[in-house]
Amino acid sequence: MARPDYIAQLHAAKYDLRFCSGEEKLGMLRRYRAALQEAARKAGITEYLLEAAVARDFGEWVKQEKLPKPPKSS
Amino acid sequence: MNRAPELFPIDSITPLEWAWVQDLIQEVQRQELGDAFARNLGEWDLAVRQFRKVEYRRIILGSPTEDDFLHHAACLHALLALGNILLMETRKFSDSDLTALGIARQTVAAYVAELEQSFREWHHGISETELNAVREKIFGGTP
Repeated sequence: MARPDYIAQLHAAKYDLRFCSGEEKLGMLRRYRAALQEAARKAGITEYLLEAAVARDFGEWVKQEKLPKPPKSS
Repeated sequence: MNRAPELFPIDSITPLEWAWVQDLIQEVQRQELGDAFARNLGEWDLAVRQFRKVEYRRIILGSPTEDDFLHHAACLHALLALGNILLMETRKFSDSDLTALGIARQTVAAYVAELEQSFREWHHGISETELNAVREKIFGGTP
């Protein structure tokens, strides 16, 4: 199963959104929304459908990227 | 016996002084309201962070069961309800009051929007058949 770059970028934006806090949250939310809009445009589907379709793939991407566990303070 | 001199002779209490006392009381009430709001927001934030930890372990990285999804939806409903109430509560305060409390209205809104995003992606009512068709289109297969 090939994961397009735009989906990987969407996952990266979501990961950053999840594990930021405080004042960073607004900036990361904007970045995620921009990535979602771009991914939906490239996939030719609605943002709503895309979010639901790739939700499960986010966990796979996290494992493949061997991302650190969220900090204890988060 | 001599009467002690009055500290605040009745004659000298003017409407201005009453206004000053009332302002002082209102200031105390405002501070109490602000402190209570900041405390509630802090507790909500703690609950959101704990929810995210469990969500990450059970839903994102784990193999979630039907029960996990039911709990996930229930928690999101509750956190969203409280988050929206807190967001409305921010309207009772001026920007400078919120700044003094270390709170930004837009940040609270962003936390609520992030919870809404989670709800959309996991509790949408779109059929698996439709989702698989989309996954086929994106990935060339179903994950």
